[in-house]
Amino acid sequence: MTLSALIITALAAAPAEGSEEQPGTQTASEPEDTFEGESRNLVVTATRSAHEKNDAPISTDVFDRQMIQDTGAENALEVLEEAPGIQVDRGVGGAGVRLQGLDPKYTLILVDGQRVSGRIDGTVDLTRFPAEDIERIEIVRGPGSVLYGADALAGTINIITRRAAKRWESEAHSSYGSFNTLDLTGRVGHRTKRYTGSLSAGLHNTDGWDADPSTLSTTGPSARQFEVSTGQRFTSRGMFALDGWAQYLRRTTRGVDALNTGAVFDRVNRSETLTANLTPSATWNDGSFRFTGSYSLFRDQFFNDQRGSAALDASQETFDHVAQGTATLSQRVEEHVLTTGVDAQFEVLSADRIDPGTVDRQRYAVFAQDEWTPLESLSILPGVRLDYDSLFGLYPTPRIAMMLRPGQRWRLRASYGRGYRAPTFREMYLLFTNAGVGYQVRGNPSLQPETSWSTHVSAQFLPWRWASISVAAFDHRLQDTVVIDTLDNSDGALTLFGYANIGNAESRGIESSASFEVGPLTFDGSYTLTHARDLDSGLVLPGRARHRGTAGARIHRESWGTTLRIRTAITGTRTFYVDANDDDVLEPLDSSPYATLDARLAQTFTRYVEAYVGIDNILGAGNATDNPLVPRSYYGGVTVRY
Amino acid sequence: MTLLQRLLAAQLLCPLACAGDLDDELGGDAVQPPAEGRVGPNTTTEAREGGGQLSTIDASDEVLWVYLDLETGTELEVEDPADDLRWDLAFRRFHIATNGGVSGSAGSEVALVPQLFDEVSSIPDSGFLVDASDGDDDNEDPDYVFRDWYDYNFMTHVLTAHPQTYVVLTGSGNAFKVAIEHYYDEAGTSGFPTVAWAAL
Repeated sequence: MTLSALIITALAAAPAEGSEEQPGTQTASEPEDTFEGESRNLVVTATRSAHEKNDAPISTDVFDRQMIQDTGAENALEVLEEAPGIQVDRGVGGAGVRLQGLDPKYTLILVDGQRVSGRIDGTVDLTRFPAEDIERIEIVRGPGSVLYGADALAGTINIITRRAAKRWESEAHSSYGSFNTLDLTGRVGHRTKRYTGSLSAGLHNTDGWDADPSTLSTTGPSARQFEVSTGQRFTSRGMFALDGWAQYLRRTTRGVDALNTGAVFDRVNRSETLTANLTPSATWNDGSFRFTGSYSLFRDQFFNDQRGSAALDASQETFDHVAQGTATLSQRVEEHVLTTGVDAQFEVLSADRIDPGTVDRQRYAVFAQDEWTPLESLSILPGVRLDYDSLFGLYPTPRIAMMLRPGQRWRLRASYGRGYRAPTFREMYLLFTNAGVGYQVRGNPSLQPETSWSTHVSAQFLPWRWASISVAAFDHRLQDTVVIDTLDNSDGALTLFGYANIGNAESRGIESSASFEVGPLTFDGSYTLTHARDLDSGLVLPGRARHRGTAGARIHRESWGTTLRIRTAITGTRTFYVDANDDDVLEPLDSSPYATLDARLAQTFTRYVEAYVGIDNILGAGNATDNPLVPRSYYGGVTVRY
Repeated sequence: MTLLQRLLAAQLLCPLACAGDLDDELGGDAVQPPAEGRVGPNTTTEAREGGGQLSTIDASDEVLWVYLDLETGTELEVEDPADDLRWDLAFRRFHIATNGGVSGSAGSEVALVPQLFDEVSSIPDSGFLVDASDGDDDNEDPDYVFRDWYDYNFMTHVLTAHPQTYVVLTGSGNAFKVAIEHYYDEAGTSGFPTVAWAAL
């Protein structure tokens, strides 16, 4: 079977990008050129068509449902922080991830292939995606703007929602741990040849944590979250399918901030998201068509209550609506798989701190990609997307990618492409005066998008069916990055800040990983070298670890029903910039390297019940100033599945 | 009520998308009672440990100035500061003006003494200046003699008073020593300078 035939097989088997494969996909006959016993592991994000993970022209990391369960993660962030080369970044906008040395705002977050609303300070808070609703997470490194448009410079993370896998299924899950952390989730599902449906709900609570009890400030906020979601899929006898998913989520977080001025604030955030998408699709022998209409509403209420005074109390409400329609046609024509599409996106944001109070933008795009397989061992993917943004005009984002298979055991991949990040509404229209500490920040309506050119080269070696080794090199060059600049002080405010397209940066490095599966034992490890710097000042970008490594071991004794999992991550020195000697000049300050160690033991009782206990951050790494890690925590739980 | 009961009551019983407004749920702080020692709408003065007076001024308004008369120790209502000879010091946010030079017509002069407040016991022989019009600097404010009373940390945006004292010769011919001790009130709000002052 040729590679293009393989692609088409997968294409036909999984027509709905980001949705569950059709029944039977997982047990389809093994293609001739996969290793014996290798389970099919389809990925869809990198090319908008389905490929076996190891045969995808663009390298894709996957956390499937079993892996998500194994991690014991309760949300998407806890899954992603175990991926090689990913660094968690906790900021005012929540917790996001840095990919390849670039901030969270350079990574596009998708749910079922559609972008989500609710970026705060550039970050989509990944803790808001509950693990029980996730079928798998795909991580594609490198620019994805060629298919998805803005914000996919460093990479694309696609959270694929969960559908019922069995004729009847139900699941109840509860866990309790340190910091009064409680998770209760329930789920029911039904699947027939023509219908797949599920309904799930979850409650999550944590009292938060404080890395430095000597101050009034807290480090990790308390959080209470409730969500309910449903996924429905109808498949016709012929070629048509209709897939829908909807979720409502409400989350309230509380924390305490103590300023150097002596002011103490009780901070409350209540965010709600309502997400819905509907995907009609059609599949035929050598192609597929799908349309996804999606709507995502993010409402955030923020209240800052000053202790002992009302002078600095602040409240603000934000509504962010994103509606998107995407149509994609994939068609095989001899050695080519042509993927073409159109995309329209509408976003409206209302917020107290922007001027004017309501702003909107529209984007229209066309994209095309040719997956050309001239030889069985060679795939070439030229692609281009042209975005028209009502605020910025036209932005073309081309990409050329290639995969060479010199033998059954090798995959060599290379890609070169352009990405762009549209400035956020906040960066363009913010008007914020912090009377408490005496500064004002103003948006800049004339900002232009940041752009990047990125190069990726990787080699994957599959010496045996139980082993995989990969090494990749990346190079991102960012132009016109948006930085905060000091503006002229003309109206009595102490300091006036604004945004300007005056930065240039690069991030380059090497990512390597290996995994081995020997009987009941699975080992994996990774090492990442990252060098990210500001090209104007020559200084390395703050908070990035130049060296980072992970290692994990999993022992699964089938006959006992026991799984033990141990993971460690070692993060090297990170550089920050502080004015240590009060001379108004920032000096570099290196933080200490640190290691984290997690362990989890799970035991199944009969086929229906699994109980587990675990310890996270056994070594107690972290501090309140430059490394806000969740302290050592213990947890245990039970999952009942039917 | 257990945690679970609280969660169920707060979350499950509420219909979807009905999250209330936080503003309605969160109460404001009680209004502070008037402080003792009030000498004007924006100023309280108390005896300072170690000698002199300690005045705390609500100068948090971005536009309006608060005027002090050191001779009487009271806050004044001033309509025409340029021609009003009664006031000696005026406060707006971190700005401090004196009734001389471009700020007023009383002829006040000010000398900076690089000593702590309690160490100053005499009037310096020289070094007296008046508020001047804006010079060659990075702001558009007049060059107040008091303009360097603070150190500004550009990382935290916090103002910290320099350990120094100003000697003010008022238009009436009296001399006072003045030192800014703090810029924030007890709740940490900026624009509330605490000023130590005493006659020399």
